[in-house]
Amino acid sequence: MKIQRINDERLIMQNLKNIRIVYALQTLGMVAILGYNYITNGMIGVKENPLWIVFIASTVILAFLSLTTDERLISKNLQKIRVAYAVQTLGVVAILGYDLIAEGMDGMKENPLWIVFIVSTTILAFLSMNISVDHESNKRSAKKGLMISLIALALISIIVGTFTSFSEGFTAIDGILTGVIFLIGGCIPFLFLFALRERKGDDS
Amino acid sequence: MKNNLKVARVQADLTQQQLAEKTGVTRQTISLIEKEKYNPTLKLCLNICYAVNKTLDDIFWIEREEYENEDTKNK
Repeated sequence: MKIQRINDERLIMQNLKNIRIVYALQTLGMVAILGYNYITNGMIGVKENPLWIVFIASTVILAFLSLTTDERLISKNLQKIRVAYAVQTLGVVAILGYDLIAEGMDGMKENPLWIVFIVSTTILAFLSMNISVDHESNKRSAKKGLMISLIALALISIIVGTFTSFSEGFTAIDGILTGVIFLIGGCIPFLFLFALRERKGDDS
Repeated sequence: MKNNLKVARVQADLTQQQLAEKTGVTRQTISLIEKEKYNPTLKLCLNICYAVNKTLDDIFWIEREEYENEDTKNK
């Protein structure tokens, strides 16, 4: 697949607005974690959490935001939010990476930050689909694309399900369940993409 | 914002896709400008004008009264 650079001014702006949504969500998650820390351990507990540094660092960048309706400054603000989001995500990845090294995969998943990270990344991925659909050539049929994706997904689900049921410690029901979950989970982005393609196709 | 892009594009015998390729944007952006749902930057406005051989006045100019009506509608 060829990676294309976005040159469309509308899509660049859309991308920045998407990042703003995800940044807000990620910050809310971080505030919730720090708030829980504050209730359980007080301010000392909050300051001991490395997330506190990440939160402060990303918030300092935003301190330079200006409340304005000036279109040039609105665009500047969005670019600052992108930098703050990058700093915040890097911090989150560093904390999770440290957890992974120190306590392993299970230790990392126990950190509530893991959920914040997964949810915000998934939302960003879904929002970005809106932009990538605009960048696609219109020669491809949306229905044909969906059918190919679903067939490939069904095949992968069958393979995963079969392997699971034949694995040690797993029954046939586990295999079927894994396959079905794989299929349903995989269907969601494909159906979302299909809906976007259909909507954009009708736009002309 | 109101504009005459659709008329100008048809007069230049271009499809939305062809105009999009000429101006370096996506077809959806051209579609949204024609439907008055997106306000392009001056840079894109100029690129569009060059592509359809029209002036900014021909495509994007609207009288003050009409502009003020649009502005209050958007608020």
